[in-house]
Amino acid sequence: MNNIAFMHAAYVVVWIILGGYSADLVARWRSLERELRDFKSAPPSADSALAGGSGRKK
Amino acid sequence: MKSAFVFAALAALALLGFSTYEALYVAPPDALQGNVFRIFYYHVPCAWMGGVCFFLNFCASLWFLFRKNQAVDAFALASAEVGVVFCTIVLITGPLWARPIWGIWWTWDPRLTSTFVLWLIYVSYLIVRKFATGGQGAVLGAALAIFGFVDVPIVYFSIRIFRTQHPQPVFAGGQGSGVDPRMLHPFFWNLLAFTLVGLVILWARYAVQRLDQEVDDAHKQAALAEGGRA
Repeated sequence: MNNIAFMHAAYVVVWIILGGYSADLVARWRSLERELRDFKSAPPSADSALAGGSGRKK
Repeated sequence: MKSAFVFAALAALALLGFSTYEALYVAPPDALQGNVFRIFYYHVPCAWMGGVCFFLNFCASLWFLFRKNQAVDAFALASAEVGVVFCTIVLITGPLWARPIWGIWWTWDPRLTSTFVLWLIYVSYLIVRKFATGGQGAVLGAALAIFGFVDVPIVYFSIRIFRTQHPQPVFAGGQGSGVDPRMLHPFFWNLLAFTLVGLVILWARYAVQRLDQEVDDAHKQAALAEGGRA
C-alpha cells in the first residue's frame, strides 16, 4: 500500500466526493432556476393552490 | 455574479490541479512513512476547511437566533452541509493513512472519536433541518449548531491534551514539531487550493439555498393570493 499508485487512488476518492457533491449542487441550482422561471411564467391555478397549500413538492 | 462564480471555480480547479502535482510529484517522500505520507497534503487541508465551515455555521447560527434573517439561515445551512462533506473526506482519508502506518483502519482514540462525534453532530443538524416541521427547523438547527460547535475545539486540542494514537501536532506543536521545508511549500499550496475549492462550493451551496427559499416564497405568496381571491 505504501506506493505512489495508492496515493493516486486515495486522491481519486477525494475527487469523487468533491466532484460528485459539486455536480449535484450544479444540478440542483439549474433545477431550481428552471422551477422559478416556470413558476413565474405560469403560476398555479386557484384550485391547485387551495388544494395543496403552498403547492410545492420538495 | 455568475461569471464571477465561474471564474472562481476555474481558478480553484486550476489551483487544485497544481497543488495535486506538488503533493504527488514535487514533495519528497517521508523518511519514515514513505509515499503514504502524501495523504497529509489533503487530509489536513480538508480538516481545516471542515473546521472553517463549522465555525462559519456557528457564527451564522448565533446571528440567526438574534436577527431571524433568511439569508443568514441559508448561509448557516450551506456551511454545515459543506463542512460535513469535508469532515467525511477526513474520516475516509484518515483510515486510508492509518492502515499502512498503524496496521489498523480505526481506533477509538480521542482525536478520531471526537472527529466522528463532530461528524454525527452536524449530520444530525442536517437531519433536523430536513425533517423538522412547522417552520421550526431553522431555530432548532441554530440551537443545535451553537452547542455542537463545542466539539470543534475538543477535536483541535485532543492531541495536545491527551496521549493519542493520532500523531502529535505537526504545526505549532512545540519543540520537535514541524516538517521539512521542502514539504512545507506543497502543503501550503494544498491548503490554499482546498480552502478556495471549499469556499467556491460554499458559494454554490448558498446560492442553491437562496434560490430554494425564493421558490418557496413564490409558492407561498401565490397560494395566499389565490386563497384571498377565492
